[in-house]
Amino acid sequence: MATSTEKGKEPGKGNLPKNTPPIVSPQEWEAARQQLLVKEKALTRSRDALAAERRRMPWMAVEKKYEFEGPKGKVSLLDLFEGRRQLIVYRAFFEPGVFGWPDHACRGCSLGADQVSHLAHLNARDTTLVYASRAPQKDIERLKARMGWKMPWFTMTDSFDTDFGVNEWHGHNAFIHDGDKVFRTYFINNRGDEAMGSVWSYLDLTALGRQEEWEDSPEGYPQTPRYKWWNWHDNYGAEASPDPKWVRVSDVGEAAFRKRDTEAKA
Amino acid sequence: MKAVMRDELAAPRIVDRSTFQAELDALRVREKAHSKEGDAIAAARRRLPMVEVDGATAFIGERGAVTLLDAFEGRRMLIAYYFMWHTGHPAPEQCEGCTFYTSQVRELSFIHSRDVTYATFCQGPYEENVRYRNFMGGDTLVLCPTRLARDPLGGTPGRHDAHRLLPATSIQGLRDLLDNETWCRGDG
Repeated sequence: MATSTEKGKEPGKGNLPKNTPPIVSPQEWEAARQQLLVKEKALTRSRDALAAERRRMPWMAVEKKYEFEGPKGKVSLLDLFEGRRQLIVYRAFFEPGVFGWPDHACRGCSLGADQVSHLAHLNARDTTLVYASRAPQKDIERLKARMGWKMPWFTMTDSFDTDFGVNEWHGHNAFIHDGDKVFRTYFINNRGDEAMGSVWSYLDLTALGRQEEWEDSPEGYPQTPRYKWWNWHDNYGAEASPDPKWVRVSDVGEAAFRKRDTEAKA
Repeated sequence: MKAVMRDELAAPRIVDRSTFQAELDALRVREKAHSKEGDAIAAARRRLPMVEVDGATAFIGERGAVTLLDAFEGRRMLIAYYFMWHTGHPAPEQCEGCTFYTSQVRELSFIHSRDVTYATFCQGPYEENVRYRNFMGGDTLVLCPTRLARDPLGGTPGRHDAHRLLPATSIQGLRDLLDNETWCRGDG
């Protein structure tokens, strides 16, 4: 049984955990950090290589006609793309029988929903993210309003969840379309889902990746210079192509940090 | 709607469900190795030594003058993100990269429950910073310095324990923040 002290423990006020690392000088700390940075960078590169492998996965043709309920009625899987080239569907558990129903979605899925970043950036790379659950639209609408979630959220009506490996557990399925043909390009689930939420995590899951020139992608894939496509989330609509002023600013910034890196290595 | 032309993209093979699943399973081995390596690096971060910083370093925040220690908001750990601020410039001329990054920072209650505070640090004046934050719809605490320290990490050790509890990875952000040259501009 917890003691009253433990129960009433204020954050940051308890005893330090045992075995904390040594306190060192700034120079020693920096040296230790630089040593670990080698591994950190290797992990980043390995993530890039992994995303490049994902982009070389074969595509699976989706032959069945799936139907979802949306805020405006029945829609097809192709409709979920909202006119964009790629689609990511996250299956979130929100339905009768799931802990929290009807007030809340599953706690894990809710944590995931809370870390979905601003979708304007993802949309700017021709990619749509949607959530899909079994709950009726009226419950989804209420949940979104309560939790302040903005992503499109659809009701599954058929075997979509079973067919795409998300009938028992959560998962992200990535799709691409060619006219009215839809293809499944990748699937992330289990602990892979915990890293999802940032713009980069979503783009790295897709068939086309970040669509930046530095990426190792198959010949002919759409690619533009890095940094240049970034915009403020409320300004993508107003600006069709990169603002020349921003292009200059980001060029100067990149030149400065590349120079710093070169000097550091010299 | 612009259709994706498979010829134009030189897209991969189109396969059936079982072939797709087999390819997925094969790549999953590498995915899992990557996750495990990430866990191992996080474990190594937890074992990095710590460096003491001056908890009395002064900032302006929502509640007026505060110290670095106050920025912990009573929690044990602090993650400090340094936002490049262009003083006197309107919203459209603020840093797109920092804004892009900050728009990926969402619900903070989870990390709060793990005794971690997340705060954005930038050049003042505070009124400009907070106006921009509210305009962009963020809710991370914004702090800006009242005096500019050249290298607080090498300066006077603080009097409290709490800043020793800054985990090393958090100090990285703080160090970038405090080491940045722009820190030395203005009223310091």
